[in-house]
Amino acid sequence: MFPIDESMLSQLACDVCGTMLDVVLAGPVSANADAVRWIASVQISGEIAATVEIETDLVIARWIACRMFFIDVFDVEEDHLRDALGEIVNVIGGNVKGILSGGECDLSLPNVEETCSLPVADADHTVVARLSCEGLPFIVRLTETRCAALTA
Amino acid sequence: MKTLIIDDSRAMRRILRQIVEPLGFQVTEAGDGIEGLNRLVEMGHVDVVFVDWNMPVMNGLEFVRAIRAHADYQTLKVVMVTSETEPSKMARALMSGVDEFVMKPFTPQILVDKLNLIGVTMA
Repeated sequence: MFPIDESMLSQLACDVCGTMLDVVLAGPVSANADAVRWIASVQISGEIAATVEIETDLVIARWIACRMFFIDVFDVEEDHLRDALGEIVNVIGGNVKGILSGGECDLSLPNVEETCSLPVADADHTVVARLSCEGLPFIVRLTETRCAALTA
Repeated sequence: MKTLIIDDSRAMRRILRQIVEPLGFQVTEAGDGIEGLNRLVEMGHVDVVFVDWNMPVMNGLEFVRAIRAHADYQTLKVVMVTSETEPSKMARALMSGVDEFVMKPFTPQILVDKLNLIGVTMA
């Protein structure tokens, strides 16, 4: 298993959001399963194989985009959401990679998607930081994908 | 003062622009290394380039190698703004001609400090 736990992942996400957005992430809140969620992810590949993912509510995705682009909430377009969440997960992923990897690893370009599907249970080989932003869920996951592939 | 910001992330380009414009920089943006090379030629004199590492089409390292191979850009100041933190990668980038690194996430003061370190003085 990765040498990174929920506490470290939470701290890393808080540092990234605090520095980039001046946003304070708080402890977990219960999620509305019916809410439209946005998921942004990056893959780490090389001597380790992992996925770093952030998942948040549409409202928070819009709010993050506002802060990152210095625009009004009414001016936020889908591209703003994708760029903002993609950059956040890219930075978190890069920092996770730096902690996990002693050698050469690559970070993929971010993928961002909207989903209405029900949340799935987290696998055993996933570290989850359940945080919140403005009272809505902001979840960060680190999944050991090589392990997942081997055990699938 | 003229700067070129090369990053595939529009969000990061916007963040960098928000920091350097008040410092007196005239900003031009590019979304990848190839576009960056084209903008560089169009701009004429450039004081400093901020370039991301991980980009499609042409990444930041390839961009730096391309400009350092050209006599006109031997002394151009290049700051790599990246989420890469591995020492081996940083060493490779420095050997390729990067002047300084800024690790994401960063504060405006960190960026200013790095510019001072490489001798880019603001108005």
